[in-house]
Amino acid sequence: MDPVEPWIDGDAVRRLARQLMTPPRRERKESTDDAGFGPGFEGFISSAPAADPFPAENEPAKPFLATPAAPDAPPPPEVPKVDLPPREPLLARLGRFREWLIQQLDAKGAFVLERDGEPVLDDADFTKLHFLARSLAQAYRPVKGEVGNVHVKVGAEAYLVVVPVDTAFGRLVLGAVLPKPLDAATVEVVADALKRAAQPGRK
Amino acid sequence: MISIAVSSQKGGVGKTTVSINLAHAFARAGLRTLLVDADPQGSVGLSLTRQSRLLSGFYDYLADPGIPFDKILVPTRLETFTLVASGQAGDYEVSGGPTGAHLSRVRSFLRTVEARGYDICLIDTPAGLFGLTADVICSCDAVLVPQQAEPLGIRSVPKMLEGLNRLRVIHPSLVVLGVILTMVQQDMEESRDSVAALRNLLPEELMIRTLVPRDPLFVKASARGLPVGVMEDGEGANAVFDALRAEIEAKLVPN
Repeated sequence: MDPVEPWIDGDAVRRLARQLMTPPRRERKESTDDAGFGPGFEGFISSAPAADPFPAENEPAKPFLATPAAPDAPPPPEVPKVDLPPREPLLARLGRFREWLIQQLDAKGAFVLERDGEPVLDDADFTKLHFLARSLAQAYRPVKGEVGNVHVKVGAEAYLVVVPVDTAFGRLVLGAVLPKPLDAATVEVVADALKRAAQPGRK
Repeated sequence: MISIAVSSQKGGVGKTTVSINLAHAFARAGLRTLLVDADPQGSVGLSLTRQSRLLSGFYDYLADPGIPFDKILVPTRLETFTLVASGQAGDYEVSGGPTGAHLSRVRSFLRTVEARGYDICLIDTPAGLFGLTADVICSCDAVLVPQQAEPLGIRSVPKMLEGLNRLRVIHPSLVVLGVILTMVQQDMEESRDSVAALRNLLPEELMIRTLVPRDPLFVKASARGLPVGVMEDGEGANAVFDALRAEIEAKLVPN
């Protein structure tokens, strides 16, 4: 008796299994080094709880639309659009969106909050930044007709970039930790990508 | 600390039996082990303590950020083995909550467990790979998937693989320890055929070699609230779960 056939598509199962067994992505190691401090710095205590990799600095948030490009600066490289297959569940699409941020914009991580501040897509490394992202999003007053963002420096070469986006699921707030703030064109691309990721599945 | 979700697409496949006894095996090996009952039916608590229905537990922690962590810990006679029952938050909507709704609290829970010095945290999840179970899997280092060695049980394998692949998009570093076959009956042709068929269908790396037999001793152990290994004539069951523990440890050793 064959308990598998004819109930199961063996080829499909094997394909899914192979996909599942691809090696996991290695977690990025948190770096506790900051400018001017190396491994020899004696101020770190090894038994202390892990230091926040991006300790907040006392720099006020700078609400702005986008960094204006210098007149003679070359145009920023075009960022390829995120690939979002239709019919995937929302969280899978948001996961793809985050992977795209990491690969295309060198994001260290990203989370998405819903209107009430609850995480829709969380990132364990940056849970502490939820409150800050929510506060920035609430304080931000967009210029009509333009996509904007606010950003705040949260560590050496680390900016929390907050992009509120109106989607089919309501207002979502993207919090992305990036090595530098985004220019206007890239903000548009990111906002559009999140909006498309949060679209209900299409036929 | 290593956190392992014990999860399956279907119910009744032996998740709780595997969770209890695998946790006991880790604890017997000297590892500080926390076994968490994330099933609102409270199966783990039912098995291991008769007063479980009165205990605060995992769902209370999820619902109340102010609850002291110590309040939900249940020590056992084995010093290295501690439980967290499912808890009193009886109105907690598990299946109704969307995936992602409780991710923060689950991750907060695991960070606290790690800070307390536990070596292993096993979480027995509700059936299905969505809602809170998905949040637990997406918060854990690894997932172990019990699967009945029966023809009807095999039909859920494609859905199970699809579900895990979706979760891996959200949690790319999730280690899939593998599928562990449960309720194996060597004296029944259909059960032996199911084992052979799954081993033929799935890659070797995805199949746990250890088999968990169907045995009346497991039912008796659950009724008395004990891991099967402490029952009279339970040494054989100890050997099964010691082998499972060793196999899992080998998979978790970094290359």
